[in-house]
Amino acid sequence: MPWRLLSAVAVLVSLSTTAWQIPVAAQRTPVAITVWFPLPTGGPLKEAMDDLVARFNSAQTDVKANLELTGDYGQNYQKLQTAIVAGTPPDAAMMELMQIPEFAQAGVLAPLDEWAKQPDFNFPDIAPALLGNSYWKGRLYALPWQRSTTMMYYNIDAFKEAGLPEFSPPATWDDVQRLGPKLTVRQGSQITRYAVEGNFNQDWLFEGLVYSYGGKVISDDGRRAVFNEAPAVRALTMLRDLAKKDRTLNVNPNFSQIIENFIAGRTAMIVHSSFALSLITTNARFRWSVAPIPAGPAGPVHNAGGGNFVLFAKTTPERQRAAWEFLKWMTSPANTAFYSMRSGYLPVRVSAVENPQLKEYYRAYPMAKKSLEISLRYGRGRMVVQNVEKGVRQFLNPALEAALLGSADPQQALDDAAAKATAELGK
Amino acid sequence: MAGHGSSRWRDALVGYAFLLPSLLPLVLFTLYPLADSGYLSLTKWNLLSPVKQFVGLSNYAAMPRDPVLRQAFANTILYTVTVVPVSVIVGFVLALLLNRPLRLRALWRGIFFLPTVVPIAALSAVWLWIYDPHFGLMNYALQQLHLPTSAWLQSPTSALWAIVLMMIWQTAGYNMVILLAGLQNVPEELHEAARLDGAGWGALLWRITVPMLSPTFLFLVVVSAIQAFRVFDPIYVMTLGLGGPANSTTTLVFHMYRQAFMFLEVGYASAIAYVIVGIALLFTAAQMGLAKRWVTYD
Repeated sequence: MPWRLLSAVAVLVSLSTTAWQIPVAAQRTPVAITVWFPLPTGGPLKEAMDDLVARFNSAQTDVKANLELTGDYGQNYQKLQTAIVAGTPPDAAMMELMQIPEFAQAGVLAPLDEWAKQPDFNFPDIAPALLGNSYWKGRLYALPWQRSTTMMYYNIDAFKEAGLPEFSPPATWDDVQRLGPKLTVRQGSQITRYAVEGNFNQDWLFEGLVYSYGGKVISDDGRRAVFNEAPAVRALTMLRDLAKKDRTLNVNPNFSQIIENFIAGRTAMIVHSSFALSLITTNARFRWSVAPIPAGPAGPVHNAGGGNFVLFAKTTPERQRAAWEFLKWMTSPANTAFYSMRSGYLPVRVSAVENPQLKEYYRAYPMAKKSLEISLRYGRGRMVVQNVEKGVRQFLNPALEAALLGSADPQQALDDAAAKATAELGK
Repeated sequence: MAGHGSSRWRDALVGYAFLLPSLLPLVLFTLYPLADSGYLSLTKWNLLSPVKQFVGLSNYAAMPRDPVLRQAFANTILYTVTVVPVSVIVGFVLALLLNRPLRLRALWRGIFFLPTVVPIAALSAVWLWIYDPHFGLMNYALQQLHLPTSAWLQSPTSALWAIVLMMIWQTAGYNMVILLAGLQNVPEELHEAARLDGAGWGALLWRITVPMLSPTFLFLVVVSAIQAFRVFDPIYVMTLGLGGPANSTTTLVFHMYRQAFMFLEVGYASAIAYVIVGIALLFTAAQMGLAKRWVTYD
């Protein structure tokens, strides 16, 4: 009985291997690659990506890309970590840009310099404002794809109600300090509209503000935390005064609530992501516009955000080449324009603005064009740190929270955090 | 003799063969990972590197010097000793109320059980709004009642309590259902006999209902204490993955998660995991030991 079973299995195995070998010998099958994309299931972003992948697969016969959704940026990062441990990473993936240095340092990503140099790729056309977080130790590891910057939105009607000129949002934080009390609406002790709202107790907005005050967060070699130097302390003290003394700033860690508050007219201005534009466009029932984020002494800074495409090192040269072909196709002017229109993220090529469809789109949505112009003009890459969670965020964010709650002195809180961060970064 | 022995072996083998379908997943997905993380807890490893550096017990030795771990430990204890007893008591009160003949009883039972069925991620969307300091329902209600308001999730002194409150609400319904089942097993004759002897409402509750339900209470307390001790989801979703403000809601498992998947300190995270399991074991053993004094099985 077992023998009969065994021989049956043997026959089956030999059949399946021969069946598998015939087409390989007879005709060239496309190289199948797997692309991981951080998205929860469904929605317009998925439809746009599915659309692009389907067109890529039908446009040529050499490569067949399979898109796999991996949840949010955090889940995507964890899945990639475990796939790397298991020795089965995908061929390409999109990652949140702050997560890339850790992978690059560990050698699990493929450098892209050689591919990007090829003339048909036209690397100089990739928007320089979006390349700040693509490099690690001088080598190119990532191409921008799903990119945003911080952005300010203001409620024109709220300015009118406050008796202020309608189209002159505050250009500096001094202006915010001056106009804040007029824009804040109080009923007794209750505040029904704040002048400004944003998640300033997290590193993303704060980092941009530090640059705008002429400072730095991390030393150039990435080994020292310098977010306790004068410009950063001035920026944090200014925020704390707005939040605690003037009570014109609502510091809210909840990203989606900030948009909802703006849409409901509960804030006159919000500092958020350029990605919020489409949500506000569809839902706001008042006149609004985008504007540069109020500036510190060094001018406005719009900090970068979003995801970049990377390729993984552990694969065959054939598959790596196939994955590059996919990236090259995706980041072409027409396709980045297409994704930008469908998703609300920024086009990653300078020449994309010449795309006829995108021009048409900007005529219909002038606010999207204005937002892009602001992003490209004032956009700036983020700090590049090998493990930003461990080296910076775990110390900086609680310090910002404590200072903005009024439970710690800004200088003291930043000094403590910087000392701990420097000890960790220097390891 | 030899024949007898081999047939016993065969019986044992057949027994194991039948066990295999459930034993295999247990070994593969529980025992092996348990042993492996035991080994990992003795190493320094960042998940990505092929090298796992053996460091002996230094991950365990580092724990007393980790201020966030101390805070996480205190938070976890506070969370457990509040959520568990309060949600069991609330569940018991609900069970007593809904065990009486009541109009729309099934509907009420359904309503109180509902929070148990809805995923935490979905509940959090609602509760994040309820707790909004400026525009949320909670502060609005408190204002209407002329009571002091709170920054809830945005203040280090109230954030953990905000989550505790939500989780009492979320788990009480489950406790209610289990206790309702227990209540229906309390023989009505006992109550009848006691009433004939002149026992009042309080005496019936304390002398009959509670002792008869004591095994159910034990089950609920042990199971919910273990669950409370490894609380993660509500912390993650209610603090937007931050465990803040200023680590005020960071629990042991949340700290472990952050060490492993955000800081990539897999060895240290594994050591924390072992300590969590050890404490949960001690906790459960203590409860079972104490239980001998108050649980009756007849």
